[in-house]
Amino acid sequence: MRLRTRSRLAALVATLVFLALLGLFLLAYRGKLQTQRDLAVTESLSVQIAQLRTELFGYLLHPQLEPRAQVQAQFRVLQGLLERQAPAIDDSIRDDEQTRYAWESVRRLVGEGHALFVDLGGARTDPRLAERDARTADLILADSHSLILYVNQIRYRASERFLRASSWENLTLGALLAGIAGLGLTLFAVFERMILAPVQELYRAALGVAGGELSLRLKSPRRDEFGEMAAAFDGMLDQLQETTVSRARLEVEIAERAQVQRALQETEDWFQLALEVSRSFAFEWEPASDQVRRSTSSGAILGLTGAVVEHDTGQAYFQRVAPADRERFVAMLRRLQPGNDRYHTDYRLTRGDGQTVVLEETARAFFDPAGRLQSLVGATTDITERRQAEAEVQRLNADLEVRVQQRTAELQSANRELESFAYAVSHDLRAPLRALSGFSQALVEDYGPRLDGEALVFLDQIQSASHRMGELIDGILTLSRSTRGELRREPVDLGAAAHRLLLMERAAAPTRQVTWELAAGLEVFGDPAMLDLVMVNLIDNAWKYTSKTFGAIIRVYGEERDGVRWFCVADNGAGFDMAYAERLFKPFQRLHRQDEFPGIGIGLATVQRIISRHGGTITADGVPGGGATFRFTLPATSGRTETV
Amino acid sequence: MRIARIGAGVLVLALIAGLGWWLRPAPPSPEPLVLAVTQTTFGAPLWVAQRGGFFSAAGLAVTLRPYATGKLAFEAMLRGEAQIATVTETPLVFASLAGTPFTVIANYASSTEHSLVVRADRGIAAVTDLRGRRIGVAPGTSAQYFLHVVLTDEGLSEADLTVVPLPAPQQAAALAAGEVDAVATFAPYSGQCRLALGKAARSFGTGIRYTGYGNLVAPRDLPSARPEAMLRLLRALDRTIYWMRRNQDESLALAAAGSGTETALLRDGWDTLHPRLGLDQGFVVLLQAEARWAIAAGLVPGRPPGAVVPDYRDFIDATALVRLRPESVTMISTP
Repeated sequence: MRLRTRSRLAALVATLVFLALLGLFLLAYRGKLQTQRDLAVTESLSVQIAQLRTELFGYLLHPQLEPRAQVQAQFRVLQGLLERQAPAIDDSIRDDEQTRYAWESVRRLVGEGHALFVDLGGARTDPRLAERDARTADLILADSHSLILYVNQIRYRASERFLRASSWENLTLGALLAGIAGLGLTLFAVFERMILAPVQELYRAALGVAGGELSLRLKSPRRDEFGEMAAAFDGMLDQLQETTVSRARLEVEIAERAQVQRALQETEDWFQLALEVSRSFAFEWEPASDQVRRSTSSGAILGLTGAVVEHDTGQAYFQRVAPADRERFVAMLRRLQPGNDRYHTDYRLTRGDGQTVVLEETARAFFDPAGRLQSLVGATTDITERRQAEAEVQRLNADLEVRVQQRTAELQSANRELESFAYAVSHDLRAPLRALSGFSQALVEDYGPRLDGEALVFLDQIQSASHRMGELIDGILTLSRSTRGELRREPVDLGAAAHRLLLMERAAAPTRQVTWELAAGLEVFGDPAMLDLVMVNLIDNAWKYTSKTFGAIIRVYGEERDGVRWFCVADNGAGFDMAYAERLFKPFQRLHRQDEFPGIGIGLATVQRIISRHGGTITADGVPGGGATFRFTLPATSGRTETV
Repeated sequence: MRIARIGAGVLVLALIAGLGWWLRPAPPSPEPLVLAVTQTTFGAPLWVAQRGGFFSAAGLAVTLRPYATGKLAFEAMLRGEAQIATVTETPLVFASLAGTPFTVIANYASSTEHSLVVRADRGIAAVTDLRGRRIGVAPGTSAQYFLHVVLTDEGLSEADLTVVPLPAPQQAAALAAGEVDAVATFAPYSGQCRLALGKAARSFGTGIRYTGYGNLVAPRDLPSARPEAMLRLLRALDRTIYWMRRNQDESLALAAAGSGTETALLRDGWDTLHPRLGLDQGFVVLLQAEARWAIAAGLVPGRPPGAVVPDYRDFIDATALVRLRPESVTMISTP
């Protein structure tokens, strides 16, 4: 409800209440006035009756003409009074039956009294009427007595009504005053509720907003002007808060942008630093305007200073390119087109200070929809020092090549000498060894019966030592040959070789129970003789070290490890302690006693040298009593012959 | 929520009302009371009260016993046939002078209905024409004093004519038969006489010069013995009278039905009957006047002329009426 409507309603109700109370009061006041009038009538009647009685007594005591006339006059006064006051008397009766009866009695008694009084006094002329007069006097006296009492009753009841009316008047007056006070309080309460409370709420809210409470909202449920004002206030706060939030957001964005700017600057610095350190600069050339824009690092490279460092023209730049390179460079640029929009080149350029630098340039061309060159963006690096270094390297390489050739020649010569020496040693040592062995055997055969036991033992040991020495010499020869001579590259089937060698081993020791597993596809490129020697040594070792193993198994297979193909020969024989693995491939180094497994310790050294010569690697895994696995790689090349 | 509160409030109020009804004081048990009532016009308020249910409404179980006159009713009460009797003042004066104890509780009506019915056909045109004639009257009733008043007002006395004792119910026949020339009587017998005489009848009254009082009389100890019954009796009559003033015709019908008197006869004296509860000085003065008359006329054995008139305030017990309507008691009480 609108404030104006409410105010009108409150005023209307207040007026109605006030008028109702006022009406009650006026009614009570009118009632009091009426009872006052009743009282006045009764009082006047009472006075007249008192006078009548006095005059009546006077006449009864002194029955003479004069007092009789006075009594009759008084009766007439009384009757006249009753007639005049008849309307007031009728009013005063209202619905009070007793009062009505009392008034009727008063009227009756006055009339009867007057009539009786008229009859009184007959005895004066006729003595027989004395009793009648006495009786009449009795009646008049009794009537006058009753008259007084009835008037008293009327007066008593009128007084009663007057008191009631006065009380009622006081009550209504009090109610009127209380009503006025109550109306005042009610109006204040209404005013307080309608206007003061919302104004105070608005006031507090405004203070709160002034104190920074922008989230504060009135949310008034009222539907009057204050409700609209509160809604407008809330809306204003919404906008204010939104503005504040936007400002805060803007500040955050500015801060973020500054941070990005800093990061960008930092990146830019890093980029510039990188360009400087790498002695490079970035550029962009727009052929239409012939304007070139360059990074600041170009100043130091091009020997330029001032504004021309960052802003230049393409023509000016081309003029600095060495004439010998300029034509090539320009021709290359002209070849650029969509689909062939990149180039990488180097050229010489005359710096601002007259020095010549070599520049390496990588760039990309951008074209408009019509295919015309729009811009060229790229980076140019000063490779003068690199070029100088490369020239130095080339020079050093050339020197080295000469030295290598010299050394190779020296080495080949030394190898040839060593081979000759080895051959000579083995050949020359074999002759005395054969003599030693032959003569000691001849001594046993020819003079055996004459020699005692101990001599025979010594001869047998000479025989044995000679034999072993022969083996050693063969080994040295084999080892020597493995590092020398021509290395051929031909297909070799390692599986087939292994199978052949195992069959040979079985033929040599048919009693042994050995199982072997040979994988297919173990074909490699290499020197057939050398690789056969590798397989001979590995198979022989496997056969030998499984000689004391029940259920011996020998496996030959290939496997992939880290993209490299390995060829493996594994057994479940005596194995070895990995702590001594390094000694395996050294010449004459053995991990087992001679009486356990005989050998001269030259096989695996030979294997390693052959594999190395092929450019491969060999490893060994073993567990004492758990077998050993030898793995080797061979480069998958073919058709090339290497000669050492 | 609001409806629930209102419902709870209504429920509580209903419970309180029910409790109040349940604990209400029991209505007083009806007081039994036997009244000897005259069949004359004076008895009308009692018959109306009985027929109108005012007695039972006031908590009384009243039995009304009809008697031809108040004197007969009073005598019946004195015999113990009733606790209360309705009677005019004259029988009371004779009883008081005879030393019979009784007490007047209240006047309940006054009337100027007494009349002298004369045979005009015998040349009686005025009261003074009665000289030497035979006049019938019920001795000891108010009619006897009425006759005295009529005669003395005209300068006559009982000695100037022949007073024939004649019970009221027989007066009409006697008058019609010519046994008497006139009768001094009261309604409804006066009406019977006029009817009996037809056009030959002529009536004379006293107007306001004699007003008879209808009284409620009881044995002397009854008001103190049964004060509540007295109060209820007066309250019932007060309400009856109030009702009668507004319902004249209905009252008349009820009175006729109750008393067994013809309505027409009852109507004859109806306008002169003024029902009103009271005990006023006029009544006391009248008792004294009648007592003086009775003594002077030598009507009371053992009371020679000049004997002292009793103080009639001793024969009046205003206790009940003062309780009910103190303003109605206007007699001058003993100082």
